[in-house]
Amino acid sequence: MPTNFIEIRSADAELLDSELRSLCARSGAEAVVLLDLSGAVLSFHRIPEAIDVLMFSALLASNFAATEELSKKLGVTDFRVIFHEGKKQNLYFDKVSEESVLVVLFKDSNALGRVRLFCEKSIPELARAVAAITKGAEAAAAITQGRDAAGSIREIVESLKIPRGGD
Amino acid sequence: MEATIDIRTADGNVNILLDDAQVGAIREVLVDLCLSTMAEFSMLIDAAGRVVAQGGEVAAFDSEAIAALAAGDLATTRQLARMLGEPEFALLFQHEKQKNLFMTAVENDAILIVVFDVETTFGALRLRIRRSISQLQQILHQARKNTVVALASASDATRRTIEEKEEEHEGETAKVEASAATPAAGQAATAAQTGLPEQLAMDVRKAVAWFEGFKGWEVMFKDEVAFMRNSLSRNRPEEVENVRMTLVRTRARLTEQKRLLEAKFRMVQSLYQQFLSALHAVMLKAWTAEVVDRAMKAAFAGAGAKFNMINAGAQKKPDGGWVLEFGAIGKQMVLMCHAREMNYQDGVGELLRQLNASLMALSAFLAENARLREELIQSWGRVFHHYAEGLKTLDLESEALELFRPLVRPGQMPKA
Repeated sequence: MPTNFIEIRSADAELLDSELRSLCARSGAEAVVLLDLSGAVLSFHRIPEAIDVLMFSALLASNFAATEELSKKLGVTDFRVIFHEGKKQNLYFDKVSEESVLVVLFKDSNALGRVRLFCEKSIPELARAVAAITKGAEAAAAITQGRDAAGSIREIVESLKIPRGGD
Repeated sequence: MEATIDIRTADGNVNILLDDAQVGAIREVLVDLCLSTMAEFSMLIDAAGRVVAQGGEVAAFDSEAIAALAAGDLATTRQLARMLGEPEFALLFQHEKQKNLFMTAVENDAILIVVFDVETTFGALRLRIRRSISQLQQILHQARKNTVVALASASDATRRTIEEKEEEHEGETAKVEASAATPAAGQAATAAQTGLPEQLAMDVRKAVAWFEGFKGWEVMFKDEVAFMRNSLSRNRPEEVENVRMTLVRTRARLTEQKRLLEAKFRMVQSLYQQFLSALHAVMLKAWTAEVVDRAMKAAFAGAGAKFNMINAGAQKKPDGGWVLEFGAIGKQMVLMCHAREMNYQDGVGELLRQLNASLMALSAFLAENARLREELIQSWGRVFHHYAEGLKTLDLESEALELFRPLVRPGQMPKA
């Protein structure tokens, strides 16, 4: 479950950044984004300036979530990979952990096999880094007891002034 | 043309009408695709998430749910494509051990979905799919042409009917006025006396008659309708331009309001259907199906004493789940708006109040149990966030948030 807020220490941020850089170079990708399933960006590399990264990652996350839901309807239990095939550019999604997805943007001239291979090689390292971040976030969430654990609806909770049973 | 199925755009407008033969041809293409590629299942859906035709192992899949989810998925995929400057993305998800799915837009509003297992190689499937897509495109192009012709003749027929009715109506009005006034004055009581040019007078009369049939809109455009109605009998030549402008503006605003209402109604439909499904799933973890059904019925019946829209629309599916049948809900809402002289936007507000009341009553039970409460908050939170942008745009956010009210314990209130 996406946590309330994410704190990334500079060491983790550097680790993610260098991992994404190396993935980008080795796979010949145009850009890579690592995002939380709630739509927050954990790290990104070479996203074109014209693209609003926050909006882009929110769309990527919702697209992944919708497709995951679709896969459940088909009886798939361990959903991981989506591939969007465009005319000139493609997108490859690979689930890193329960809470994060790696998305690679690559040109049509690049091979999907190459992208997939290097993604698979990078994922264990990324998963470790994400786990460290999540652990930190959980600890932070525990400190701020009283806030709702379901962070995605924190705003909802905040907007409520009436105690339970006030219906 | 005898249309049996229509293809709709994402906002619900009919785009293509298909007759039996065309639906049959589409089904043939889909079945053929499944047979030649060993794909398990294929389906053509429209952008509104409705199934047009399907082939393969139809019974093995919940095609309606898949269609609804796939249409939503393709909408976000399109947005992604637009962001990256791509005309369209085809979507493929893969699972090495279980099932794969391929989804692509055939026409603007028609989407092809193919489900295949690990035995089928995607390379071969892709080639075969291209052929099927071009076959489907041919059928849909032809259907689109036929639709344009059919709609044009239908609108002609409607126009003729309206004109005939108007003539009758004018005749009756003239008779009534003639009997009320002296014979000389009666003869003068013709359309020319409105002081409006003939065409404008006819348009205004049509507009007023239309509003009389749709009370919800009449309430919303009360002043405009009253002004137009009066202009017919006042005979003030200096008002002509004013009347013309009012008519044009009212038409434009009406179109805008209709679109807004439709968008709101659809948003409420998909959001609350998912809220209900999530709630049902969590309830089943706590009680037997029988108890859950009884609770559901009681909550729906308690949604409102008069014009209970939820009770009119909530139905139990054969598979045990509950659906909100929005066709029936919409009818009930229109009835309520007519009876109470409410505008339709307020009608949607009342609908939301009733939906919230019944779902809140149900969720209040679950809130007693910490684990179930948490589960419900999380699944509703997910659904809500999925729709958050749209809800904000349509000003529906606060009503949807109401639903979370009984789920929050005082101790959990964050400090402002």
